[in-house]
Amino acid sequence: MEYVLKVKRLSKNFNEVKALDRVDFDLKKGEIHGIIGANGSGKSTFVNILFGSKYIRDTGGYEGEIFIENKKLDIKNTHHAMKYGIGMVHQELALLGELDISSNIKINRENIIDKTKLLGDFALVDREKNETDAKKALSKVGVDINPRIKVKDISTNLKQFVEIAREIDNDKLKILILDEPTSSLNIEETKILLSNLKELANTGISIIFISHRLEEIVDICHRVTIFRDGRVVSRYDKEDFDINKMAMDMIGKEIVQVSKKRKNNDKENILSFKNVEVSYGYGHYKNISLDIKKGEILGITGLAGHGQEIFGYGLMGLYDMKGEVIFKEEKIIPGDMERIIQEGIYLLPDERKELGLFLNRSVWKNLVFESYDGQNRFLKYPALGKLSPLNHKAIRKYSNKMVEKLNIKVKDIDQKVMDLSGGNQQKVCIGRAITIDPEVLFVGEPTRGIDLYSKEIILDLLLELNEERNTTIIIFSGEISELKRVCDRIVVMYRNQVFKIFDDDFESEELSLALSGRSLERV
Amino acid sequence: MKRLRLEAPQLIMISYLVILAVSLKYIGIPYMDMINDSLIKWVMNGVLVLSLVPMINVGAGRNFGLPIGISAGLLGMCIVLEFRLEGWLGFGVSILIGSIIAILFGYIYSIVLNRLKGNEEIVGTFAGFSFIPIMNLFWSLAPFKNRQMLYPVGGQGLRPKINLDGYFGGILDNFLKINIGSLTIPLGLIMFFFILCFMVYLFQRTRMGIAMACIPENEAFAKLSGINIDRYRRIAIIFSNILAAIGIIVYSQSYGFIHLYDGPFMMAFPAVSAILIGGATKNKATVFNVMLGTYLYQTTFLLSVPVANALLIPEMSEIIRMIMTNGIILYAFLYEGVRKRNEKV
Repeated sequence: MEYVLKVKRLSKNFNEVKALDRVDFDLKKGEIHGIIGANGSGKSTFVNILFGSKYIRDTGGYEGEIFIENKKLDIKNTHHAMKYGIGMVHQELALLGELDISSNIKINRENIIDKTKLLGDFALVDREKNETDAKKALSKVGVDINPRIKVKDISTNLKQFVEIAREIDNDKLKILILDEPTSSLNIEETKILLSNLKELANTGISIIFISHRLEEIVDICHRVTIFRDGRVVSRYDKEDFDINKMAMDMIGKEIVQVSKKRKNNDKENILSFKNVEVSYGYGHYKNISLDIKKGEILGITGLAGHGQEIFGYGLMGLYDMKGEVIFKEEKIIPGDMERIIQEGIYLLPDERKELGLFLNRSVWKNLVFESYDGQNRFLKYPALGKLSPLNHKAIRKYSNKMVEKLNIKVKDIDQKVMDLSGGNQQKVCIGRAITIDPEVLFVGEPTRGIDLYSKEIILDLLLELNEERNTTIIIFSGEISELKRVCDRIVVMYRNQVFKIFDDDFESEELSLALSGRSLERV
Repeated sequence: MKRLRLEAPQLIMISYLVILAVSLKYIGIPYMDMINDSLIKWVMNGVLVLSLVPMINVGAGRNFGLPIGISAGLLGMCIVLEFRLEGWLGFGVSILIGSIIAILFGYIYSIVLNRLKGNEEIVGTFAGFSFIPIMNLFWSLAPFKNRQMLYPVGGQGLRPKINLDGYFGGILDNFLKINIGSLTIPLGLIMFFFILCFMVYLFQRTRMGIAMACIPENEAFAKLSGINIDRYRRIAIIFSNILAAIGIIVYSQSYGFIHLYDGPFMMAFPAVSAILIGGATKNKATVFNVMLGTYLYQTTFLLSVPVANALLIPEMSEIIRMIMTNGIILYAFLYEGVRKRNEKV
């Protein structure tokens, strides 16, 4: 079989840190090649080199050789990479919201009306042909949607498909790099995408597929390469796939899955939503009710877009919520942040970088930010209230202790949060939650984008918080298997309504059915 | 303030200053006079520049609406003159009344700015500009009775420049003045400036000051942490306006006149320019930026006037002044744009 891509002894240094160390890699025509590895193992650096990322060039380029179809090439920039037939879909979406889907897919490859070709750059664009092309590309990934809709009006999941369609539409495409394409998709959509990727590979396009989800990798890849600390540690062929062995290779040690010893319920309600109304995006939803019990870990799940986050986001004013919310028998107003935080409710949002951290600031500042109401010792003269300077000595001592306790990997507590890996950033967030010590803690997607090993540490931290301080924790997440392990109760959301609450029968078929809005009685 | 890093604007200004200083020798103007004057000019404008700091740090932009705070200070002084309060009493009461009016003006101004987040600078520019005609109307209709303030002819409406002699003109300039040879140090004036600077510095170190500085970096997160953003912005805007009111009072006592009507019209630009020269960015300004920037900016103009007048046409100094003031602001915008683009990749 012919090789589309061959990489020999590829190395990359960031200052003194070796991000990639003599990596050999090859890719056959029509092959789906999975790359897995923990956070910071060098996967992203590897594909960024292949795609000619500016960041690589600015930090001194790479060493080693890259062959595409047996021709040795030097990938200088993204434009080069595209010319050679490499396409990449990043984790962060790059689409133009104000343009419609077809324009996004055909961008820089627009069809031109023949008669106006003479005009060069001023030629008129053939919209209809663009739209048929766009429809064709979208159907290849299994989506049927009107290409005239503006991209800002479609869901994140669909945007992911549009991005992939954009790359497929390029008829020069030989190698498609997908970086965590399924992280924002739900189960059904993932299935659709994966089966379409298989078909795409059958047409001769080679795919490099990066994912944290081993099941997917095992499902669709022909071969898998495992990265650890910038090196290729092992490579498996389809026949030899073994999820446990692969996970071991990724982490280098065995993973112990945490789970919760479930306590008896029948406790008093700590927080109740009574027939509240929530609006966000274009949607407006009424009559939503939920009781949260004191000291429990409550999981809220559902397919993406079905409103697993509305309670946390609504209460904290990120979504518009109206209606009766009772906290410890007292009414509170959703969005009245000062009061809500003082009462002891806190939210760690799922968009950590956008809503949960000061990326440009040091670890210690992020650990203690605005925790002073509960932690008076961080203020030099607490009597001065908001006008008191901070007690840096106490804060530094505390931060050092926290970094050690949570096992956050940092140079020192003055390091900027931006430089930490996703897992460590999440630990900083949880560290702040512990510092603030709320009675009720909402956590969104606590393990998104975090490798298998760190995932367990983070779940364990949440369990510890719940057990030691009896903090009520509400986790809203799409990772149902994790919720099943750590939660006392699981709420399934469907169409922004509480569809069903499960007490203990988590393994039942009913829970899987509930996700798509079905129940046993009705089937 | 830990590390002193000079960037392009400071370096250009310093080298320009050196050139001016050398050429002074050939024109025959004594250096000592210039140094004495530069110290007074420094503080005279310094408080106005300082007033920009709280607003910059809360993310409400460089306060191009400075005339609003200035008007509060002017009004304070006029009321003091109406009651013929002299000396320190007059100076103190002007600051008191000016600050009270600044709180009121600042409150209204903050309502406008809080509704138009993200566009504070352009909104501020026009808020400042449109506030001046309103104040003009007031100056010409206000029922002041003190003859020294009114138009000599007709006896109605305040005159454009009111002399402060006999009230509190030069009160700070002459307070604790130290003479060392021909060098005169206005210690009282400088001390007053330093006390204000120190207050702003202390404020930045408080819990509230730190939280304010976090707002421009990640507003959503700050809000989730329980910070009432609109309230904090309002406090910062009011604080800025109070400082601006005090600033114009300090300025006026040095200048010797209260300059009404179109006086405050163009005061925002030199102040913004000065703080930018000091190294402030859109969202971060320190007291050190204020002190360095004001000194460099004001001294440059102080020196350029005699030099330009001697070497070129007499009008030249004003032209250079305009080019530099606005050029520095333009440079800062460009610089921010370029840096933003680099950060994104």
